[in-house]
Amino acid sequence: MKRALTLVLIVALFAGINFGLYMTMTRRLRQNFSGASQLRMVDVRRFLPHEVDSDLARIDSSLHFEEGDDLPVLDGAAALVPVYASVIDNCYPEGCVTYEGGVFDDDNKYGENFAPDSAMQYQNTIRGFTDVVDGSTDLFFTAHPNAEQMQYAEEQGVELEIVPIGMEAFVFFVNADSPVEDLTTDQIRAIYRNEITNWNEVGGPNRMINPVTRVTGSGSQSMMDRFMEDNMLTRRNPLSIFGGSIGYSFRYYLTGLVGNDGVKMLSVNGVIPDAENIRNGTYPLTANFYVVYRSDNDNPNVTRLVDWLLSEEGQSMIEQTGYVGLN
Amino acid sequence: MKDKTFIKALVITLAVCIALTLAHIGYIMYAYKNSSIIYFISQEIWP
Repeated sequence: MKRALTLVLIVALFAGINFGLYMTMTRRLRQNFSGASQLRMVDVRRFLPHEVDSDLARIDSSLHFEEGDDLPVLDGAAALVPVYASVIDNCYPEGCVTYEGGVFDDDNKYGENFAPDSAMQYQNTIRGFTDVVDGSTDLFFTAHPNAEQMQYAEEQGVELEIVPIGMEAFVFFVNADSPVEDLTTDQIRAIYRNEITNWNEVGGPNRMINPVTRVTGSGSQSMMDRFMEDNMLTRRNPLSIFGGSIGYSFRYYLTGLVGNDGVKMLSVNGVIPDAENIRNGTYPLTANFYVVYRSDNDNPNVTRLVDWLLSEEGQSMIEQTGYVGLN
Repeated sequence: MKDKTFIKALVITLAVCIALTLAHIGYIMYAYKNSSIIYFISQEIWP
């Protein structure tokens, strides 16, 4: 009897361990186990140009390309899909975008497919940047390219024009139930350098901090590298994975595109990252976003489109998508 | 339960439990590396 009980206890012990792992980790990962999931977050079908129900900024544009014009091919970061899809919606003729849909899997890492001759593409930052350098994309909407991407362009002998077209806030976020509301920039840097490892060092409860990072080459990771002045933790306590997490992203991506109520943005140095504070410069972590194109691109419609983006009309469209314009 | 039977049952039980737990941990390591951080953080439990 005692021996049978021993076996039962062993099974119960392991069941308990696995239940604990499930509650703290597995449950939070179950929708995201594919190799491509981190880059998948935008449902492009919401932003297809010339569709009645699309969630796009529609203005009375004075720039209209016609069928038969040399239409610049647009691509961009996931977070900027609403911007460049709105450009096409306002300035391009109907029928220039061919969306073929797509099943999300490891061979089609974004779950989205546009026909090769479509004026709109969606390849996100990492693949899309390569395409603008190689010439298959004319205009690429993105955060500032990182050093690696600039080096790639240089190696290919390609000179790029990088034109700022709007502003965005770089934000840090935690779980919505976390009692922490504000961090200073120094505290954030210390967290990501392993100098602060417990929330109680920054006014929170006694709980380890889990500083989550992003994939190299993504727009948010490039911004983070600049914020950290390329001095970021490389190793951390593996048990911190069970701690209270902090992550980073761009404001519009977090609130406008993903819109997850389970997380909240932190104010930084006491300033909330809202449109007003981004515009007036009081929020300390603002960044421009850009349109990138090859200097030797001889399609005149490329510069026409860039000029339009910088015009009152273009800036108004950018504001209507939820971003902040340059002025 | 005889000694021999018990030891055999003990070894098999431990082996199965450890194998399943290691597989679970392996899955977590793979999934964590590739997960959406926004979803991951949104599902965190705070007392």
